[in-house]
Amino acid sequence: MKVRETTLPGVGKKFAITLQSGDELVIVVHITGEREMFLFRPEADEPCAEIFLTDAEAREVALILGGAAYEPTPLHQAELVLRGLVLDWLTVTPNLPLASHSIAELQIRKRTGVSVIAIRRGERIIPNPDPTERLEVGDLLLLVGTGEQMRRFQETFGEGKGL
Amino acid sequence: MSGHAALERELTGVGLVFLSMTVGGLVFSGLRLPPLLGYLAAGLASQWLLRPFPSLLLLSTIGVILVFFFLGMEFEWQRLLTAPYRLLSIALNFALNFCLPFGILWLACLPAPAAFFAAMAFYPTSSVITLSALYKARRLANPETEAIVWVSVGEDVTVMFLLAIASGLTRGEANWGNVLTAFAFIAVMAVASLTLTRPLERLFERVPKELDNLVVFTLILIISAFAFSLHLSEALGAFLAGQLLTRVREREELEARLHLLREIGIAAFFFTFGLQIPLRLSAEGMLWGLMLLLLGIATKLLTAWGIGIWETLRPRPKRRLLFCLWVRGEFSIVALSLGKPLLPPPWREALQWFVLSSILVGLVALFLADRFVRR
Repeated sequence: MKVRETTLPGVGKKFAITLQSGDELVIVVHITGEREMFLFRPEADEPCAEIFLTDAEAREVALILGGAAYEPTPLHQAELVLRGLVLDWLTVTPNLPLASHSIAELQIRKRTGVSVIAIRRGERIIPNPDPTERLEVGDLLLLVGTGEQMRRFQETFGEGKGL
Repeated sequence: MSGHAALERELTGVGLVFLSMTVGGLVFSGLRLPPLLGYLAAGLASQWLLRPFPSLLLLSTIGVILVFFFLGMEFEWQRLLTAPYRLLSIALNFALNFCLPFGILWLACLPAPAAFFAAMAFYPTSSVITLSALYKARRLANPETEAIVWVSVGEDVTVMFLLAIASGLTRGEANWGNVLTAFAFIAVMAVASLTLTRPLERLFERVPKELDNLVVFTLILIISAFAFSLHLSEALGAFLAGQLLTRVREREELEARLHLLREIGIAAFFFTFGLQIPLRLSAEGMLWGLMLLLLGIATKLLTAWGIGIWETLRPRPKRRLLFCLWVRGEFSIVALSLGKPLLPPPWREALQWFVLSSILVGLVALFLADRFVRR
């Protein structure tokens, strides 16, 4: 799969993905958070389908597509083509120095560069969790970052590490 | 006038400006046109009531600074080098829309410095207005958009160097000391942007989140003010300040948070331009304005035609592209304000009307492009 990224000055970014079918999926992410999705048939000059999503809708859709609600195939270490990002799942166990602390207290992004993009707590899904969200034992975290950032995350918050 | 009365006057003025901009923006948005055009129209319509006043001019300057800061932050040299074949498109645009009009104006009627500023106002397509219009027309994803973006990327970098040269011309005679200062400033900032990414990231790590905006805004204003104190354009300073943050991890977050401020600043910028356009035009100014508009359409048509062939666009996107590059805007207005002391009055009027008419005619062409192409 090939992804082309273009900066649209003052608007946001455009991602064009050539799908296995030959169709092209174009996603425009606006600075304001809106998303526009267009589907082009092979060799077509105009889209055959357009979808407009608000920021909240886009995040919900992304979680479903990312397997947060239903995970039929293992997603561990699913390497994304985009900028070498890694999407990873992590269950908060009592051995990890994460439980009972909020994301802000842990300073996960500042210390490692990794972002927590969703939490699955039992049947509940918390998309784009607030920094004040306190992590609990049993939470399943959806993390995103580069390989290097994930390694830093393991070093900082791996088993037996203190805060 | 007492301090209280002066403040009351300024506040009332600012209130009226925001009211006019809101009404203009809402009307044009309702018509599915870019709100920027609404701000400009509001400025034109407010001429009977308002004259430019210090608070508005400051707000407008902050708008220019933020627009150029965003352009600088979004501009990546590496990306330019990843597609060297696109340099030909950039060169074609520069040759037809800067060199050609500069040559014509210089040979025909204007001294070289004035012809330089006129060509500088003539050259760049407004990426701000064009992309906003493409969004309204829901054509951002179309194949020709990438070519339009590359034209604007090329113009960003060219305008940066033109601004550097312009700083040496603003005193009438060519002042090469100023030009050298400008290029030295660009070189220093380029080195800084290559070496300061990590230190800046560490700074953002240490600064409390709620102060991030303030830190960035301070950085932008200090660099712009420094550029201005060196007799360079504040827009150039802002562009280079943006370059400093191109690779920092927090870039996208900062971009999103400063977006609101940029929107307000750019609204004030276009409003102020509308407020300053002379409503009565001399016959000479009108004639030159019209000729510039026709020449501007012709050279941009040729540019788009060449780019369409070079980029191997399919027939429909190629034909749509022909109508997408006509709109001038922010760069041209900055060039006009810098070149004001050098341009003879009929030319100043003519260029202001050229920019305004190119926005109107260019937007009509851009919105009707689909219809033209389908026929």
